[in-house]
Amino acid sequence: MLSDLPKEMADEVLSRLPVTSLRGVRSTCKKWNTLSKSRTFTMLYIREAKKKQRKEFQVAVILDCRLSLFSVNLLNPSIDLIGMLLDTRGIISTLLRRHKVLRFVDEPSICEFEIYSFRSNSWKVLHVNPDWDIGFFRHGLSLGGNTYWIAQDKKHGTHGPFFVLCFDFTTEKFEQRLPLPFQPFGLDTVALSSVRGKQIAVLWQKRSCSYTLKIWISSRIEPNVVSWNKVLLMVDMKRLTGFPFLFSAGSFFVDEKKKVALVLDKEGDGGCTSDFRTSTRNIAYIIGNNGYFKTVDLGESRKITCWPLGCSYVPSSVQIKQAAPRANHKTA
Amino acid sequence: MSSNMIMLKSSDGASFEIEEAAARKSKIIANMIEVECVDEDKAIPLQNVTGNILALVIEYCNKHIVDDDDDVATEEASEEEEEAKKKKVDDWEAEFMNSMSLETMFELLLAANYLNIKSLIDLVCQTIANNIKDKTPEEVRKIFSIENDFTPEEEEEIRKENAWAFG
Repeated sequence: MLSDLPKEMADEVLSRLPVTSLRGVRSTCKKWNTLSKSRTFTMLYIREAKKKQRKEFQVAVILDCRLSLFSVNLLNPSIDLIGMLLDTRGIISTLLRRHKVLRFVDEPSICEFEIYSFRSNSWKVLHVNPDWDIGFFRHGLSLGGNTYWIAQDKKHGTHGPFFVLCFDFTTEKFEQRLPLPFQPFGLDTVALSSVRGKQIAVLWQKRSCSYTLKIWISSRIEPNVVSWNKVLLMVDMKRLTGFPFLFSAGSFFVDEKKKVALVLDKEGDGGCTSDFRTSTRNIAYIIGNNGYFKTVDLGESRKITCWPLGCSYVPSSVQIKQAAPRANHKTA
Repeated sequence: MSSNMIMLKSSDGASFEIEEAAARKSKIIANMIEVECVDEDKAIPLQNVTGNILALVIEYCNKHIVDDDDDVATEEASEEEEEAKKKKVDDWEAEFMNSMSLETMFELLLAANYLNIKSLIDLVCQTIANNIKDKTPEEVRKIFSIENDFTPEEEEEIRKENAWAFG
């Protein structure tokens, strides 16, 4: 029986389970609980998940403040719900790299940067005097252990030039400004995504005229270096949606071979008119070349002020040591 | 392609004749052939594999050697043809696995591991995993005759610990 198999064989079997079955595995017996937390199992599990990623990959999407896991296939475009997270503490174990967290607030009245390390289990103040501004609605993109943002020059307010800014978690510093392959205006939709965890992709949609949507993928990305490939996808969205994605929404996933992108937003022109209460459904827009266009309804949006946010999901079965001051607290 | 035949002998003394090309699916047997420790008149003894399991392994290898040949011949095959062929293999594998009990699957997995046949390990592991994935811990314990060795307190602790897991 499975419990009698040599450990490496039991690992092989359990590593092929979907992430939604791991909770059950751990409650089956002590042996499986220990096994599912071992390092060898985690490595195997990530290997298996990566194999499957060639065709289909998993993404974490926040819908109405609840984290859901979706499976996305851009070769045969589709998006399906896999599971829902019970407790958002899970974000910590999935989105973090090198077990550090950066938090900051940069407003005229208050400017504070702090970094948390899971190893020291404490917050440390960073001395940063930014000459740039990251809009409160901008979502950072974690890639290769570092985080990238779309930022603007502070002096010029919302009219300042745009660029990419990286926080390097190794040096614990913001690096120099990195150029974008285009220059957007104030409230254009600009969003970052990652491609197979190796390159960054940037989406730009003009808020005026034809609502043309363009996507570029980098050919090289490091905290202080970026080079861009020529534009991957260019689509006139006026005929397809007739509205631009909301400047703060538009999180997306892209496949470079098929040249297909999946963009998350709400239905209708929610981002455009002042009365965004009319948009009640979360929608995945799948956009490709030659007029390829498809929408997938992700269900009702219960909060009018929440827009869906998608992040690439790195499977992890390691629970990070948390600030639970219990004598017998165990870490995997 | 050579069609040399070699003999395999199970732990319980059953002998099987198999094409060398099919037998090479097993890295262990392929190695034995490379270093020429295979005597043409003598069967290779496989001490850890019983006759009924070895028969299944051979059935699998025979089926897949044909597919590998096809791959070489039609390198230029279109995407649709590839898909169709893959579906055919998938269907065969599904039926092959469907015909056996869990107990047999475990024995087959151990044999595939011993003989080092990577694709068969993948197939059996995935099939066993599919048997578990939608089951409750209680059902899984029943299927695999596993004893629940958690105390109620420990069970509660595990439940709390995994509250963050996707479900």
